[in-house]
Amino acid sequence: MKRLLNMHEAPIIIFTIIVTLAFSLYSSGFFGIDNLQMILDQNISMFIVAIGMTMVILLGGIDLSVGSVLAVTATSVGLFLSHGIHPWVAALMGIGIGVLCGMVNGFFIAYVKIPDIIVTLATMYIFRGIAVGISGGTWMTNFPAGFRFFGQGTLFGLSFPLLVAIVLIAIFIYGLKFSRFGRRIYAIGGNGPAAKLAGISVAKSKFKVYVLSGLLVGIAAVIFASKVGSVQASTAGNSLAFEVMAAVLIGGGSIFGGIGTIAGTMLGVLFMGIIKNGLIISKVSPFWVDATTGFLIILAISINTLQRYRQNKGKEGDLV
Amino acid sequence: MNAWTSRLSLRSNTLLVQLIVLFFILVLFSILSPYFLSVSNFMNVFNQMVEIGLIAIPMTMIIISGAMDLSVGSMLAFSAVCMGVAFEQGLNIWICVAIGLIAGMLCGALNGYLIARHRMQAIVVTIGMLVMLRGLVYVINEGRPISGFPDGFYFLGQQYIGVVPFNAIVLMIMFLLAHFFMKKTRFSTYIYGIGNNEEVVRYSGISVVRVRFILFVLSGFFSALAGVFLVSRLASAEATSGTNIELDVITATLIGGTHIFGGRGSLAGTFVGLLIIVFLRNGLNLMGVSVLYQAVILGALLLLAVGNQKFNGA
Amino acid sequence: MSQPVLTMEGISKEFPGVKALSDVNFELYPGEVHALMGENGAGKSTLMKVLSGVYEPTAGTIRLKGQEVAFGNPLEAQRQGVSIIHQEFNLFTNLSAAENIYIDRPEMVGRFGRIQWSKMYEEAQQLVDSIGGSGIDVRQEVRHLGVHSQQVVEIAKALSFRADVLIMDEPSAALPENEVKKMFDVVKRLRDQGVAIVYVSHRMKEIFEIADKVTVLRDGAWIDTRPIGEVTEQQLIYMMVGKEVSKLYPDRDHKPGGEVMLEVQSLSLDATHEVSFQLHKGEILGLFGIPGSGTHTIAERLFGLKGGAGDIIVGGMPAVIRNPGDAKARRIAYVPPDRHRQGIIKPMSIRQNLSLPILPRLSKGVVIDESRVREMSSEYMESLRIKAPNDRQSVDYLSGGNQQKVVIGKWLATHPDILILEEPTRGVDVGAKAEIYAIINRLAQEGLSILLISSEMPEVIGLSDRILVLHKGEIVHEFAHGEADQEQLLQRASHPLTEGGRL
Repeated sequence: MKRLLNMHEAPIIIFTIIVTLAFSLYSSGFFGIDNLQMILDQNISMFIVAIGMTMVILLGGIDLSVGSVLAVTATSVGLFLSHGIHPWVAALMGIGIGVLCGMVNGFFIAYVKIPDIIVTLATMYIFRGIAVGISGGTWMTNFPAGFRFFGQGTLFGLSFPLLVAIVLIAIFIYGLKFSRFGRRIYAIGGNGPAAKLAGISVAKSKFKVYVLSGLLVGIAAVIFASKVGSVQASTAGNSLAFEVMAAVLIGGGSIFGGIGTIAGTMLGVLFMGIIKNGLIISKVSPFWVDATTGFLIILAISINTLQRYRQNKGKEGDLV
Repeated sequence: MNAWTSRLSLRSNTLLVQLIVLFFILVLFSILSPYFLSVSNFMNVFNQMVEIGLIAIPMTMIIISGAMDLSVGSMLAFSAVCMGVAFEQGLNIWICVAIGLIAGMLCGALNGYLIARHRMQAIVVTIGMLVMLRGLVYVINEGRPISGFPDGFYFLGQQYIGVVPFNAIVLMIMFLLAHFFMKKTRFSTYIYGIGNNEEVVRYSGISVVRVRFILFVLSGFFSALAGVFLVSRLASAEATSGTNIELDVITATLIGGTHIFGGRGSLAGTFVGLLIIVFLRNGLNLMGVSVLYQAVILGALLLLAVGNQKFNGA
Repeated sequence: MSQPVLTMEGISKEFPGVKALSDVNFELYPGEVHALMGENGAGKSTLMKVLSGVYEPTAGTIRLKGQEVAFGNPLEAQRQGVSIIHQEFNLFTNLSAAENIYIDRPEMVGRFGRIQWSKMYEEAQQLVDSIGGSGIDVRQEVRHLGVHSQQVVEIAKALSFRADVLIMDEPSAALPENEVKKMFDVVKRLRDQGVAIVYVSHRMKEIFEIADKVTVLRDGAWIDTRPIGEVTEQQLIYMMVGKEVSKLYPDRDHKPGGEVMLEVQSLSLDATHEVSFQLHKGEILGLFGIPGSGTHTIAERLFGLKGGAGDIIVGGMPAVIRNPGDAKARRIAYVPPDRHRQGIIKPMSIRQNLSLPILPRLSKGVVIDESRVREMSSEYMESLRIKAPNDRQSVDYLSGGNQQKVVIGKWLATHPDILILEEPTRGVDVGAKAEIYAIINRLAQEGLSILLISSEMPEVIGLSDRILVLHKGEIVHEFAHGEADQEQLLQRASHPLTEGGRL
């Protein structure tokens, strides 16, 4: 039992249960398969983006630009489609643009060694500006029918985007546990100088993580565009970075790096989705969603700090 | 106190570089746009830079102390909307201004409490506040603008004294006060000290918690003050006020030579950085470059400024 | 005798302006524990950094098993069989012990790049067991392990590279006393397995217990290498210091007054331990104990850096000290052990560092009175003989000794009644040491009450009027002036219950 409580995922599991119970009591429509499916469906992009953010935060970094990368990618895909490019090709090219954005972030962070907060703050505006620029400031809409498959299609009787998300989650959970690359992320986040001493190229790993994060945002963007059916460059994914960050932290990730799991993050995303959904079902002002996200970020960092404090307290007991 | 004697030559050089950049921007836009080089345009720029400038003062101090405050834009909007809502309740406008300022200081105090007292990461806490306060702003006034303030209030943001806008004079006085404060008082030594080595300051019997707390409260106060001036200038309190203002403020500060890891920087530098940014924005505006493209340029400038710090062997 | 596993010949290392090592020779045989001794700054750590691949030597050759080698980096050295265990462990506390040992190692990667966890756990457990760490579950995250177990993990990591040479830098520094024995067992086991061990330590007692040979460095030069049986402690000290130890310490000719300046009653150090003692006016009270004994915690408690129960009575008045500011207000000053992290702000000037704690006193309102700062700073520059062109120089450019004087000066400027000095001469050269000792002595004669906490026994013995010996959070003995010698002091500090009993 004690071991269970010491798990970094413990708070999120408890929160999820409490919140689910609370909303179930409050609103009869909340607790049901249909609603659960809707929550999953609405947050597919967030699940996928959160995989990348988990890796970034595991490194001890932060990526504020994911929302803007999503906007750039979704807008470009819209642009490709409007030029009559085949949906699959357009999707792939879009994902390529996500990767490119990740490379830009990764280059400045890993090789020019500018702090990640500054780089991604800057690229958050840069990518957003580019997105608006290439869209010409108008809505991207009228996607061809073939493109709808990515967000709304089914495969083997399952929703295609859900399938994509599940496959990606599985791949990255496996990768973080069983590949050298995955373990290097934990090592770097846990103790950067020691990782360097162990012969791990910190810069290379960092670069790769940001590129992967870009790739995942690219995939999420294609699904997002297809699902919503339209893209507005200036608002698409506006608060995505903050929501995803909240999900990672609340899912047990440590802002100091080295601690966290994708499974925990996914619970975190689910939790955020439940709250959003519950707030909407409970018919409070939709504006409360943003306020709640911010509150959750602060709550998550509080828990984070508390856990770290408790850990260090164990050591302070020594007389040294 | 002449703190940085040994670095004086180096510092005046970076200041020189900044001045050259500023000069270059001025010349460039004077050539590119016929409307740029005129007293009225310059005064217009000064009128519009006040909000960014006011927030840049505490931001410079906070970054020198080795932290950062990303919530300034939301605190600005929160204070502005609090002020507006109070006004709608029929309170005297100056009482409303006071309410707005207090609201800002309370937000700053919450930041400070979490960051200084509980040693939470400044970036994450202020991002949380950024998102939360912006949400609350919409919750409070449901996204509609509040206007109809009395004429006496518009004096703050719209009145010119001679050719000079009143709010620019206020900004200038604030900068001079803050500059004096950062040169001559012991509080400034503590700020530089904390940015360089927090432990030593603590071990010297100085309350680091208090210094950090005060800085974040200051940031809240100045953000609120900026909110008051903005509402007065635009004659309306809006939920979107101050969105993305942190980009301008942080860029101005970092271009002004304040080091991203703290310990070094000056308000004089920030002031030049501020001028660079506002004239750049103004010039781009005159040339019809959209606001979002300006953000692209500012973002690039931010990367350049910090990248340059790294290359300077810092 | 067998062939040496490692020979270093004519090793020199120069840094801009400093010759850290000159023409050092060092030979190491398999299955021996070779102690490396020397004062701070003697070049021990530089030599070890050259050996472990951190630095490249300016001149000289390193031969490993007869082959001339040049390690570009620590990892390369490790791969070729030379591993170093630093005082501060290089562990990933968020990862399991097994993974710490085998992080990023190709031999743990199976087909399709899949990490073979079961193989890793198995081999790690074997390795840990083989050096006597069978109590350790290698699946556990390192942050849940104790200090000794963490050290075992470090050693296992080194051995996983099939280390021929293992360098241990102050391996007992982080360990509680009862675990030092366990560490010795591990070292002996390694020695019996044929590993050559370089044991860097200040602690005489340990060296005589564990080492087979000892090499002494002084001022970057090789002094001597001898079998441990052929030297005495006194000779070693003489070799290290280069002059008679007693010359370092000023003669004490004053008697501390009877007035009690500080009284500590039942001051808690941790959940189960508390201490009580008195400090008189003009007295130098030495506190001695091996790391973990609680001497450092006493300083932290008195200076408000750590909370807890107990009464602190300053000059007859009960004092509530919750933070360093409170302590300062009670005229307690603290020269902390780590001046780089706790004592000086490097980029700032001497003047600013000196004035930092007393700025309120040097200000008119909130504005700093520049002329008073200048006056104060030149006063202490002069009285402490801080050597610098002027007081606007940044302290970064000062020598260790002068930096330490700045730290002492900034606290003297607060006009304290009680001065806590912890490791006042750490990382300071011999000349500056003597100067600092003279200063300490003079201060006591002027009536300042001094609490001297130091791990250097000669220092404590040479300066103190009385010495309190701590062991595991308890005061176990009190020596009057002139009563203690190093042997007795160390004995009391290590085996408090075998003889003499408690105080």
